Amino acid sequence: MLALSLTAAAEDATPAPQTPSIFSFSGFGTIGVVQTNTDAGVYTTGTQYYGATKSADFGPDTKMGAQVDAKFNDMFSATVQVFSKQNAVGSYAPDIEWAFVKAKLGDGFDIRLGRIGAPFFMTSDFRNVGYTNTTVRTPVDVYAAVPVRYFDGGDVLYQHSFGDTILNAQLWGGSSSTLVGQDTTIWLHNIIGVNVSLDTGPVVFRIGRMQTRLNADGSGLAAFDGLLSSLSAIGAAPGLGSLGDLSSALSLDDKFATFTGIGATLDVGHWVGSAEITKRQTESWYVSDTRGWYATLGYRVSTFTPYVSLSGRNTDSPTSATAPAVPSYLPPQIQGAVPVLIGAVNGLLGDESEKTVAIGTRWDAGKNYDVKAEIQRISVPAGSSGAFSQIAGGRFASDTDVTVFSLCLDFVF
Amino acid sequence: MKHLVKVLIFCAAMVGAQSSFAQVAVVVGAKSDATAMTVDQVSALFLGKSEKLPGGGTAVLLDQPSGSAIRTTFYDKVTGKNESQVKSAWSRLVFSGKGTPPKEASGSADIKKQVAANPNTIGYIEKSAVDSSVKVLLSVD
Repeated sequence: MLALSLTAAAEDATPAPQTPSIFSFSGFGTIGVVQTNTDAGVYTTGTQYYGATKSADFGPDTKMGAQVDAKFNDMFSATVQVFSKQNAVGSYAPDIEWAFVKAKLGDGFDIRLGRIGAPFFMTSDFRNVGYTNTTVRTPVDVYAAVPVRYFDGGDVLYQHSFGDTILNAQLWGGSSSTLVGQDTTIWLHNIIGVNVSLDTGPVVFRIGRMQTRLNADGSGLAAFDGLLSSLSAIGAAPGLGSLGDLSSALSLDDKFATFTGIGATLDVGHWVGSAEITKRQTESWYVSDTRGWYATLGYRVSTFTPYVSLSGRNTDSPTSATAPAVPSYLPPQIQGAVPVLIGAVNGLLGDESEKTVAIGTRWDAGKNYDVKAEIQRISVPAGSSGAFSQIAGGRFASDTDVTVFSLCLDFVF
Repeated sequence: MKHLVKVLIFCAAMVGAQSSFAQVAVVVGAKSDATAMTVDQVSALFLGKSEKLPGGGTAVLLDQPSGSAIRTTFYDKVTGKNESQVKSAWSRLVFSGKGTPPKEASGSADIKKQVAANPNTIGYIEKSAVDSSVKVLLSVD
């Protein structure tokens, strides 16, 4: 009773609404540890340098972000987000992940300009916020296909409700770059993309498509560029034209690329689920054509959500090259160089096919954090590297099954 | 056995008490132009899926204090979600720069004060707290 009257007094004492600050601050993060049952390859969640083997590693999943939102008035707002996650050279140096201004134009239209999350996937916008996912991480078989997290440019957002269905559409354009190795950057120029989703409440459908022109730069490409020019030079010799064609096929210079995704999420009663299929196509053999898919289904029991997830990916572009027959009248230097060059090409043409079965659970242990545990069985066919890096010889020589254990804590504030 | 029956009666009484307490009214200021809403429309607003008030402008959302019984009841009955699911839904919007979650008010008196001050502000209070300063857009039993 005393407590009640105190609360009432406190409520009465609340001063008249003061002008709220235009700024709001929020943040998120994941502390995650991963271990596998093999030392034959290193498990990462994309292009990261350090990952898990039989030795547990915090590298694949640990990440942290902080965000400031400013609302200037009913029309204009701005968002800046700083994000840190291990990158392709093993550094956690934070990136400016978002930095945009947004204007509400009315009639359901918004426009944003600046640095914006690149919406390749269904959950692109918040894929790094572990707390928003049922699973430990978005399935690597699909989400590793595009390491690009943001773009510089603008987008137009449109929202319209009819009945209880909400239509969301997004038209986006600009350019982007991402570090894929030591001093090696891949550029995406002239991006234009569109995403449409239909939200019926329990089920959301989404389709997205984008196209871009690829380029690459950085001193890390010296060996790659050297290989291409050697192929072109030797390809000029009679009978060896296929080497010249190989050089053009591998080149990243101004190559056209597209990315398409179709997906759906389910959230009804105790059930949560999501599924997505994606296709990456490029004119360069070096950035392979891939298809990825996943389906995840979870069932909420109190604060626990056990789940099962199946996923896989295939490489559709050539994963190896064969040496042309060298005419016997050509000099021995050329006779010797051709197999060496083809060997180097085969070192670059990767097959990343694999299939994954994962079971795990999310536990909503507190008001703004969760704990997740997961066991994955990844099956990599012979000749593929799957999600693994630093394999002796670049790919697994025989069909290989790897078990991956993950444990993480996600939080938001 | 007698004991069990007593326990059951007690539980039933508690459930009854809970539901009579749990009548929630979704309210705007008495002078607001906003019109009656369905459960799905209120759910979409408070999960950040839409932001327009029917007949009004862009909604300004108010929440009851975190962990309060009325907040739990409101989200359970209107959205079918618990607090951590709602937190997760808003995190998706916040960390993609697409929305800001409802501001937390100190209680029903505070919500009545704030909705009276801005015609686009919307909140939810106990049905018993409804008075002439507010317009009820939806009642949830």
